[in-house]
Amino acid sequence: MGAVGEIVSQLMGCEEHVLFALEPEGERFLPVSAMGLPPERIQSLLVPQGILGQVARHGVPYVIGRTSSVGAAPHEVGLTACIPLLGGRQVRGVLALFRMLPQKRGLSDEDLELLDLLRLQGAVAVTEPRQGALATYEPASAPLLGEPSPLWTFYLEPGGLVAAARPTEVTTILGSCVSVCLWDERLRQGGMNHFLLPTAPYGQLPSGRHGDAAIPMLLRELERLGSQRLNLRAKVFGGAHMAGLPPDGAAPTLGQRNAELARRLLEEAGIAIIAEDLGGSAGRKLRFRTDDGMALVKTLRAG
Amino acid sequence: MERRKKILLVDDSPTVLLMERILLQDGPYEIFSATNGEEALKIARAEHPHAIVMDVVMPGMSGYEVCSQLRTEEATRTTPIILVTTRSSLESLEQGYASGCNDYIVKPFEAMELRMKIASFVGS
Repeated sequence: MGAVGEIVSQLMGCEEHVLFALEPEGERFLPVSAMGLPPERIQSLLVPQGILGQVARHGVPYVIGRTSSVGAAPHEVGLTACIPLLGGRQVRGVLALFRMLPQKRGLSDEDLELLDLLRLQGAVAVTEPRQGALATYEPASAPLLGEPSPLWTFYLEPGGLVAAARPTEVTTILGSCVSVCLWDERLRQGGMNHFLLPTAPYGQLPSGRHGDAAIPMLLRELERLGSQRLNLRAKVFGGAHMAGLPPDGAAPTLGQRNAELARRLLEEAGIAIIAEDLGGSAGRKLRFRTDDGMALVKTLRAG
Repeated sequence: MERRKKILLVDDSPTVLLMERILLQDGPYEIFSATNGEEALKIARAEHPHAIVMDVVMPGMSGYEVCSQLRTEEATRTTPIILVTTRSSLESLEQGYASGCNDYIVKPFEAMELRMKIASFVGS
């Protein structure tokens, strides 16, 4: 089991966890120790993707409720925390904590301190047993896994939301849906949502699919990443009416209502819209860079 | 009384067709359904639906192919087509727009999303 497992189970009260070493190429995890997770569950985590993949690539810890959980893979349900184990500046492995003991209500500040200690010191747990495997790794010629990748790309689906502190290019396709892109010019970070309806239909829980939830959610995610509202700028796209333009005096279309809601909520939040491309009758492919706020729109037409 | 609008639903899964039919049954619609692209083309030519809701991934003709074909025919050149896609085929969606679709929806969707999309094309 080893010292890391003992710390996690006995001091933090998490009896579902796994410790992975990261292969030198960063393409696969090698299980080092695990507790409370069935082998097939561990098997499903071996390819670095989702949150575990992000932690391995960027070297930034994930803690539920404190870090954005956007991009979680389906088999990561129940993930409480995932921390990178650093050897120097390189990510040598990751430690993933799933379900906590019922009497534990999430992670305490002490737990977070322990995790931070493991982040900096815990690499020993994954490097020692695999000394031979890792000895062939030549940092001078290989990319440093703990360093930020130059550009992360993300395909945003309807109802989804992404907020990123690392340079990220987010792509999505919009019909009558609307995407609000927020960009913090000081911290050079940003995010984007993609909502389908202005508000949640009666009886349904508001989610990222509904503008009146998706816009505050995006704002909160960016504030959690350290952005201040006064530094945020908005770009708004989509809201087409895909069956040609309605006659004057007709009830507003779904696209128009989505667009109006975005304008209104941003105004209420005191965030300036510095660019927009709304309405019309064609679909749009939108690419947005979270670091420099650049947005590219390609009009999608038949042909 | 205004005539009910004709909606053609296309999906190779009878379960999905049934679900879509249930979601729309309270609307002012006359519902037609097809389980493959060839059948969809036949019904579209015969009935001239006001809107088509069509799955992308089907055995035989794909939703994109049916879409392209419908756009070459006079009667269906401008019929609103909403493609039903899945998360895994989202990134090929640009092809859907190139083939002439008007909008898209991703499975699993909420009832109200389908209703509002259709209503925005045919009037509710």
